[in-house]
Amino acid sequence: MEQVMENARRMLADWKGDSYAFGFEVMSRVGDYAAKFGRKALLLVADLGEPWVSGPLKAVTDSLLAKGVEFEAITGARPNAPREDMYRLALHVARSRPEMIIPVGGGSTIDAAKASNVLATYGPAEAKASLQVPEAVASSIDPYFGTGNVTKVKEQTKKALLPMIAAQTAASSGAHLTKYANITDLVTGQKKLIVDEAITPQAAVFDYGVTLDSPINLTLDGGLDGIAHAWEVFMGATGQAYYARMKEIAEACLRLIVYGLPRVKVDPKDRQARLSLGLGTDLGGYSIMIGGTSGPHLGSFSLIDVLSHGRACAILNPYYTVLFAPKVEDQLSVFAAILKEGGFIKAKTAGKKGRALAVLVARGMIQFSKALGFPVTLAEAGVSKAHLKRMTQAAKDPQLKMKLQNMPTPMEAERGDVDRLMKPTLEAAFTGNLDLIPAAAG
Amino acid sequence: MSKKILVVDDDELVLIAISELLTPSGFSVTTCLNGPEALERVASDRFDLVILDVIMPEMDGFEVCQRIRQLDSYAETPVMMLTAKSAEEDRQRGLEVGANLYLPKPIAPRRLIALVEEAIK
Repeated sequence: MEQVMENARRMLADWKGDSYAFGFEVMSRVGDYAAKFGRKALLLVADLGEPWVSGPLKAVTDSLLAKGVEFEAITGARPNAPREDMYRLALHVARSRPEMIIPVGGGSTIDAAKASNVLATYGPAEAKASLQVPEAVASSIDPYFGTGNVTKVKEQTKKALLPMIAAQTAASSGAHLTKYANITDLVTGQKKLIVDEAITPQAAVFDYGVTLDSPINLTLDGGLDGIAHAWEVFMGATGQAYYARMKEIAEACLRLIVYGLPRVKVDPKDRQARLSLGLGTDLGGYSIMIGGTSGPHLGSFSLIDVLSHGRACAILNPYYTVLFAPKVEDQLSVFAAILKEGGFIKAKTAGKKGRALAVLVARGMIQFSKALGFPVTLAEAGVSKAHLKRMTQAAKDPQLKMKLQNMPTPMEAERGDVDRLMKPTLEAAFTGNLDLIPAAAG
Repeated sequence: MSKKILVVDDDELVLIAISELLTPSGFSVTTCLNGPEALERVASDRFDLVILDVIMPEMDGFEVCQRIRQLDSYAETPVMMLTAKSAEEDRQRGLEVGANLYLPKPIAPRRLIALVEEAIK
């Protein structure tokens, strides 16, 4: 495993260069980055006031003080980054007029910070002129959902967002490294996504030591999210120019998380396993900067009232794996080997191909989830038939179209693919019956 | 004399942010964390604008707005509702209970300032 970890470190360093500090005892690097951007920072801190955050927060604020950066700290976002929290953060960014934003927390606070930066920077007149949206929606975050809309406004207005230094505290989404912001409408129960290079934090710090005190469920969810990132992008990489690079990243990511997660469940203070998870989930973040996630992520966006994101993706991924079988032969052999090494596939994989191999991998993934004590069907997890309907409905939303396009066999809602391919796959995930999954075009 | 604004929201951090955002523009901002407290304030003071959250414990923004409108002195006062409930039927209800503006959260801070200035011009 040492060699895999070393490779992971190299890949992350090659990718982010000096703009990313990761490993143990690195939180003090926040001050070094901050000094490059100015003298006044707004800290958005997840669970501000809770005991678990006081240690990492102190390390951050000490490092800012040491560099002469003044700061103000306010509470970050709740889980899933609700729209209301983003609204509050945007108001604080606007009134505080900082030179930089420093979210200290997990993916939700970092995502909400990204979106609030957009909302506080651009006015409705600018959104209306740059994105040709009606007056009524121009003052909201809605026009920025989808791909590349922040960049369009940035280029038209020649106005940059505030610099952001993301201090990650959870091994999960890779939000500190990526161009994504997931925002949730708690009233409708639907997540939507901003995908834009312009919102990628200028610098990031992830002290894996902080995760030693993370709640175990948060850790397990985060690890599963990391797997989902690497696996979905890897499956979608067939025929792409970046396939070889993605294969290297995904192989390391999956191996690190499959190794680390069960160990952390047994001993949450296992530093080696925490390191493994930190590196693995960071590579998951790297994955989603190379390609996009697809069906399982899309489905999870409609399940926020019943399932955490990581668990939702973990339930859905085995079923999509079978759906995509004809297009992901090489990927299946990679993941099969990793799951077999971990003891989650007992059957022989040699000589297996296509759907038969996909079924073995799917069963291995299900076995992995069972070992973590997680539900393995949507029904078992408390998902209702109404949720299934919501999932297929959301898949037809044009602002989430990129998720359909990212699939190994890209789907077109207009062509009826959602009802023909996705719907029975979700039925399979609901019941646990892999036989319900149709054969997608090879 | 500066124009007086009453902001009602159950999120204290929102109240702090709006207050600090509007005060430098010359407005006098009073904040309340719930509907009953807001009704007490409007009964004893005169505001030029009321900004109301909708989803609040004890009494929702619709009811607060309706009761404010029952006061003779507030028949013409602009009321702005800001809410996470953005469905058309909610907007309709907001307007029916007397709101002048019904806006979905989140709203760009600059838009909020512009709307406040416009409402009490």
